[in-house]
Amino acid sequence: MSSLALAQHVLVDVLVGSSCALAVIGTWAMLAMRDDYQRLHYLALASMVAPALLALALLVAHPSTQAIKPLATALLLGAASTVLTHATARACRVRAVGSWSGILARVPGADRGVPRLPVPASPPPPPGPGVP
Amino acid sequence: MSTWDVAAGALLLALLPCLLLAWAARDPVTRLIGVEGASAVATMLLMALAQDWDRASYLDLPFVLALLTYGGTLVYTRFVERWL
Repeated sequence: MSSLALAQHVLVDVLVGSSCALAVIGTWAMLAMRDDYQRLHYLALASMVAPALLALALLVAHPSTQAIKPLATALLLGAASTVLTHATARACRVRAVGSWSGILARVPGADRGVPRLPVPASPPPPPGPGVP
Repeated sequence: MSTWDVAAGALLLALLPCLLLAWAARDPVTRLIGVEGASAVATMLLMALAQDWDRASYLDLPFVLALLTYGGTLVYTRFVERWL
């Protein structure tokens, strides 16, 4: 085995090992955290950093056009993770506070620019027994 | 046993807490976080298995999974925010 092939092999092993270690640490830490906001922080470790390292390992192992697919997958996961983390934190806050600007509404002018959620209309009461 | 075999085993170990959260958490948002983590780890697992079995065409599967997970989780997040 040439020194270049050996270096490639070692680099692949290091990248795969760090990727898997980060995924395991992130997910188990997610389980150990107290609330959902803390869980979302550790979710980013498993959904952004670890796939990027794994895609890099695949690129180093097989530097060809086939490596575009894992790179695209890692990019997609990274982009989706940011949006999904924000959306999940928003859902958590709306469920806890009642609206997106629930806490900010107590401070005058602090909710400027924050979109307010439309309140869903309550269903009409059911008709009484005498109404046809 | 190759590096990718070990990676697949480690990723299965990483999948376990996500499934536990999705299965046993009380709050729906916590379950959703478990599902998000499980989908990310499952995507990585499919990438590792495709490399382990030396089938380049199998790399389409994690890409499609990541794409569909994005839309599905976003819809479910909106649903959790409004209705559950």
